[in-house]
Amino acid sequence: MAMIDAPPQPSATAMQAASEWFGRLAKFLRTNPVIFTGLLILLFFAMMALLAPLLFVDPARVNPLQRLRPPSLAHPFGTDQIGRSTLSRTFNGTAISLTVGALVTLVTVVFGLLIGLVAGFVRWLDGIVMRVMDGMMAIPGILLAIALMSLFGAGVRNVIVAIAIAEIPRMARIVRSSVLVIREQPYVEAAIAGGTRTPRLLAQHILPNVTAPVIVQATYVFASAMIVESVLSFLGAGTPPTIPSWGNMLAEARAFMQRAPWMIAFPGVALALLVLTVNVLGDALRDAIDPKLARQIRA
Amino acid sequence: MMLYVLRRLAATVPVLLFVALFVFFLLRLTPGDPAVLIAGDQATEAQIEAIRQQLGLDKPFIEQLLAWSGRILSGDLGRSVFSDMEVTRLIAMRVEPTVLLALVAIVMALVIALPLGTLAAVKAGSRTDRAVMAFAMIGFSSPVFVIAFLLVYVFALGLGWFPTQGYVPLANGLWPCLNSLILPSMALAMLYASLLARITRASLLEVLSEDYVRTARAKGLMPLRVLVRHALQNAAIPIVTVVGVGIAALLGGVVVTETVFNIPGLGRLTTDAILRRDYPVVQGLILIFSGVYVLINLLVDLSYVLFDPRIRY
Repeated sequence: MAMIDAPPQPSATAMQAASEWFGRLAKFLRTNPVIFTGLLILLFFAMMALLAPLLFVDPARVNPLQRLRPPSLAHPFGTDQIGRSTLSRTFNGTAISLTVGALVTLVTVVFGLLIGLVAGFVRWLDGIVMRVMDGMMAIPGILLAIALMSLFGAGVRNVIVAIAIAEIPRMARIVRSSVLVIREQPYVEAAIAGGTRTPRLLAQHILPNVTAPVIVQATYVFASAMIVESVLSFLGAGTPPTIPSWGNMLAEARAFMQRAPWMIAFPGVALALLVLTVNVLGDALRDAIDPKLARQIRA
Repeated sequence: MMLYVLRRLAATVPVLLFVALFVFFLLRLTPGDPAVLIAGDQATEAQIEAIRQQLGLDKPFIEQLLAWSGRILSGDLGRSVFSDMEVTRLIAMRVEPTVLLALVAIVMALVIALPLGTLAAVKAGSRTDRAVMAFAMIGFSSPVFVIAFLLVYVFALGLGWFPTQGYVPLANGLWPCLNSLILPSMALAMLYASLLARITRASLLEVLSEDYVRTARAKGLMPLRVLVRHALQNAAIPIVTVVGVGIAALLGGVVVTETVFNIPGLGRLTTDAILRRDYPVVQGLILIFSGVYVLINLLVDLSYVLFDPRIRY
């Protein structure tokens, strides 16, 4: 709660503040081993996304002599139908999943906050805005994304826009409902009565109080964006085949399921593990931040 | 009650209207000429012109909107650009596998999720609880096609119990048809079952700590009776709500499942239509899927009265 926080000591140097912050972070991680482990796994994937192009052979390098080879010392994850390294493609595919997940989350949070705050504060707009959001939520998310992709055409930027459009209404709805609760609080009424201007009111009183539900919903958006990206790529309406992505790899692997199951196993496990990690993190964060949120968000 | 049903029905009209408008504007508001977009890269000028006329894109905007609304209201969804068949006929031809697939998946999910969620709630904090919740978390996080591949690999390629893909129509007998649907339904049901198991556990946990449950136990009622009559019935509303909301995930999953298993249903039609840029078909399918979703959630809302007689509409 922003109201209770003590004001920063004027004498405290930046160094002290930073070390104090790290101390609190370390304590938080010690008392929440699940979050700690989850962040470690996430860090591993993030490192892979950055380092894979340096660590492994070119994911696009074709080797006609080494087609559909099972996992071995030379090819730890085996090779695909045109002799590309599944190891390299799997780790290089991390980047696209994380990029799409992160950017969709960013766009969804920004627009969700904006729309939710407007709907919660500007009463006459509330009805119209929320009916539009309801209408968008009536179209199942993956279908909406697929339909948008059919118009935009394949491409990473389009994938991000399409998924974000499908995710924004739910985020806006969560922000709006928190705003409606907060604006009835006595301290907000007091601030308004005291003549606080709207921008300051939003920054000082409203935003800090919607942070918790937004952070929790954001982790679910992140996870679901990665799934939808892989689904779109799998259906041939997502990331272009020139970029290694798990969805693309799984789509190609389909025809070789019996002869080369490793082509499915590695990207499949990577995708499921990453999404699982983010979802578990979301649940743990939710419990850590506010146990009461559990029902509001999931249901 | 009747009044409420009417009001609730009336409330779905603007939502469906919005979906219809959205679908209409989707094509018109994309940058570039929609006719060129649909015709594809190799189309000749004459082909593009033919599509433009067929979709009425050469007429003024308002006229297009009015004509389109009129046609939708009379149940005409236009013609496929690819096969020149009526969209409604195309959809009617593909309905059977999708409806059966979804039904089997829903039944499977309920049969798996309700007992498991209940078990987890009754034994909250135990190893059983943690195992069930871990299972639900994995099911919730695994993309449909990853589960589908795993099932095919084990049960079709490995054990040979079920076909790896394809669909046997109901007309060829109930059992062969069901047999061809078991693996796809299982893949589809996982996500849905996970959602349901989580909500069942959560809402049951809350009810189990209520005074009337303690009273019921104290007066010596059979534990099972307390669980079903006192607890489950009162925990039902959030559960049914998720049954409704989860349909969205199920419909999205249908598209993927049918593609993986080569089932000639509406989901497969959607993928094909998108890859062929057959826009009238895509429009029709989105309208149908959204309509079904809205309708099911309307039924869910109305069903609340069955579980809680205090709700009087």
